[in-house]
Amino acid sequence: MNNGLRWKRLKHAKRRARNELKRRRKKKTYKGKGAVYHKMQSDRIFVDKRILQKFQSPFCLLLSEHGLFAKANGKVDNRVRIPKVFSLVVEYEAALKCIQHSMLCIQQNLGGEIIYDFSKCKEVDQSALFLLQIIRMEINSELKKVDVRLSVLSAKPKLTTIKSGIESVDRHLVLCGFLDSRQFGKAEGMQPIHSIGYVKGSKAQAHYLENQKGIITTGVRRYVNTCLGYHGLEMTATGINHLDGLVSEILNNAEDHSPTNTYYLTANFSRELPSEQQDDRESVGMLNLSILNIGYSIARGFEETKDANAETYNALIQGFNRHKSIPGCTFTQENMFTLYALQDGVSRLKFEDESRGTGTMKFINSFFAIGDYEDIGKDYRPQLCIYSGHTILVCDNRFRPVEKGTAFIMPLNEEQDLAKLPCPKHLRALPKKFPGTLLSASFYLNEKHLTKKIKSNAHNHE
Amino acid sequence: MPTIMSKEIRIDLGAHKKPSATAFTGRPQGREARNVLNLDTKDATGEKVCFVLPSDTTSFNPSFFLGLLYDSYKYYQGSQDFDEHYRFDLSNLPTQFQTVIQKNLDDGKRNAANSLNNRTVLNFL
Repeated sequence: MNNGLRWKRLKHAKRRARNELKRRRKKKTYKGKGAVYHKMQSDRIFVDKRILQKFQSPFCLLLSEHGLFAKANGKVDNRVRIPKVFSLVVEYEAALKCIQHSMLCIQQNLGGEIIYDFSKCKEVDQSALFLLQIIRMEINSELKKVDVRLSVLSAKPKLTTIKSGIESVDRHLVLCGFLDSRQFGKAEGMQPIHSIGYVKGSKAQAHYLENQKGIITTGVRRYVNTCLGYHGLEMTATGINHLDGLVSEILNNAEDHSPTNTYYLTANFSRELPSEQQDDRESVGMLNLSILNIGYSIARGFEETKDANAETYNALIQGFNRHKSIPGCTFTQENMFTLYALQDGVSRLKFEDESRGTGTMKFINSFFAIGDYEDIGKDYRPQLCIYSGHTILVCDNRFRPVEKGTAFIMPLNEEQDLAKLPCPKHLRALPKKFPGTLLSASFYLNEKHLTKKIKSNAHNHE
Repeated sequence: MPTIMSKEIRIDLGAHKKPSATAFTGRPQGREARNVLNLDTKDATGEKVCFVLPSDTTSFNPSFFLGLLYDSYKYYQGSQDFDEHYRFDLSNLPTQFQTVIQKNLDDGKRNAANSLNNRTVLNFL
């Protein structure tokens, strides 16, 4: 055996022994427990406590830099009480407050038990659960690193979820990873099927060929195709192409607007299990897709580049002044800038590259191409929400993009006129700042509807 | 405008994406590919280029198209010359994908034309 290999083996053996010792210390499985042991153990605990006291979550600091502060008035207990309506669309302020509280809970109960109590919760939405879960997972991964430095104590909290008992809430909890599917049982309505998990992407690759976007896009599309399989359908070339467009353009935007180089993505699927009386083709599936990046809001992006991007910025200001002069206008500049930013050819990066500003409308169009099935009686309404800074923008079947000349516009009003005010239900000011940009799409899949659409498209192309 | 005319160069675009990805997307990625392929020089020398798309391509987004070719589109002022100098070979793709990818390419050109002529929705505001 050569010396190099011997040294390598010795190094590995030493590391194994060291790790084993660490594990034994944490489990406290020492046989002899004399005075020396106790002294050493208390010293180790003292050092561990110092490390835990000094811990400050970089992710929470980043969130607070972008407006999501979590300040405690006194000691925070280990229970996160989820409000009756935990939804960013319906009860934004209450949901955000609860998320802030969960951040404090984890930070103040390191190594302890954290209880997510959904017992009073009657309504949830994917956006709120997604944000709650991402924050928890990011802090957890930081605590994992802290754990390596600890000898006796542990920083990672144990998580317990108390379910709601309301079927739709518990279904979302299973899909977002708060509950095990075995805890859900059989439902009358939709049944949680599976989730793609949580994907963390980064633009900080050394070489352009290493960028993860293409792979994530392909992964999500394959996932959606699997979901369609439950409805006896398979994506056509056009469907594949539309969905690739949808996902990749959202990721492009997430990269553009993130100062942290990272974005998060999740997708999950649930469906009605067809009953004996029901035609299998009638059964409906629900697909959720959420993408988050922490950092600038869309409107702030325009503010930061206003000198370099003067032409676009001035046109937006003029547009806003015109809108503001319309009686009854309550929209802020930030609200309107967010709406303008979605339109074809508008980009904060226009000064760098004059061909910018084509992605957003592409993904909105793709969203409507795939997921416009609606059943108001069952409250199945496809929705695409964009939270950015102090603005929420809601796209649904009511207002779709329209083609004006060679560009697509989405004015969000009945008149389909960008010079008029948007509907206040679809463009709203948020009372508290969202710490970045979140896109959350929920759409419904139905075999009959999609088949009809495919046939009608084929007929139009004949 | 080109000074020297030369025969067509075939470029395999499959080398400009990850093997497991099937979508061409992202303006920075398109721009990087443009730099690696020296398309500015090719425009100046008037070389004709045929991009060969790999058989697993499912999407060719306007963002990648514009990163890769907007400067050339601008160089040729969106004229017929652009189409003569830049061609896409879709023959490796299954027939049904040839149609949708062609639509993607047309969409990319529509966006390029809008940008070149400064046709944005700002005109509607």
